[in-house]
Amino acid sequence: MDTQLKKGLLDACVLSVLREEESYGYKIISDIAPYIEISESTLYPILKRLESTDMVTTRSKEYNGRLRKYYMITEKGLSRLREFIDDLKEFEKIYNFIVIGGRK
Amino acid sequence: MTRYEWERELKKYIAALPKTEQAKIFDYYGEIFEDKIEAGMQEEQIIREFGNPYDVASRILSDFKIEKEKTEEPDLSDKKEETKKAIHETPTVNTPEKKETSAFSRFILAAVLFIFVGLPALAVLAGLAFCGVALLVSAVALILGGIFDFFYFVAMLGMYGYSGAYLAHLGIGLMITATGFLLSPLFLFLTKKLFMLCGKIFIKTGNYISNKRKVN
Repeated sequence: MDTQLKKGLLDACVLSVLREEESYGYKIISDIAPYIEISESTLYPILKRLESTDMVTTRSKEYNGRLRKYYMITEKGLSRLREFIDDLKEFEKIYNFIVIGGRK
Repeated sequence: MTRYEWERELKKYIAALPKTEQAKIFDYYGEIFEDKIEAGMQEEQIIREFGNPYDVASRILSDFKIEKEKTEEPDLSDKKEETKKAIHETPTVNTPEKKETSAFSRFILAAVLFIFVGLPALAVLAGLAFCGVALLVSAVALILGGIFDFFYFVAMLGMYGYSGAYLAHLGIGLMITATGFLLSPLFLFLTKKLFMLCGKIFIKTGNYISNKRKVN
């Protein structure tokens, strides 16, 4: 898949996972993996970018005697996700046009 | 590859990044590692899935580079070079952290150095400078001595009449003066050199000490 496209999709996937509830690295990967190829080293820069652009916030919580970093979606993240969903609708039209070839 | 080996290798490749950034990366992978262990995976398998440290580092570094370029346009050449270096060359080995020495022990060290190294060095410098002055003085003394000798025996000739010894002394006086004049350029040159040498040693030592301080 085109890397730029995939990057945008992965951002949206992460935001969509966090829209349900706060989550942590391993769980985010496990949730997304069935739908799109993702690895630890792909997720790291995404989380970092989402955090630095205030799409998500983080907090450390103790789990099993160690610290886990939890990610939470922000208002800004939610509106970004809505924008993305609108873009996808546009995209769907184009998709249909490409696949069906404008025949109607 | 064990987790320890993997992390050690990754550390080498991301050594160019700020320490806080490195810590975040290790926290991130460490957390996922623990979660995967708890999910029943084997260490070997987890590390294999993480991918080789070189690729992981390249990805992080290229992302870091893009971010740098976005945020601080003008002063990216440095970091860029650094990251490039980190990606393409064998990574630089981190120098071990300098131990923090207390101000007091540093003061004691400075005092001891001053007494046993600084003072003798100063004495040598003073000696060299003194040699320079002595050379200059001896040139002047030769000239003056010769002139004095010449005129003294002119007076003697006038007072006691002609004598071979007196005449010889006139010649000797002239010769000494001439020798003084002939030697004075050489002495002047040597004096100048000695003074310059002293100055150079002084400046070099100063630079050495201030450099040392910067490193500390």
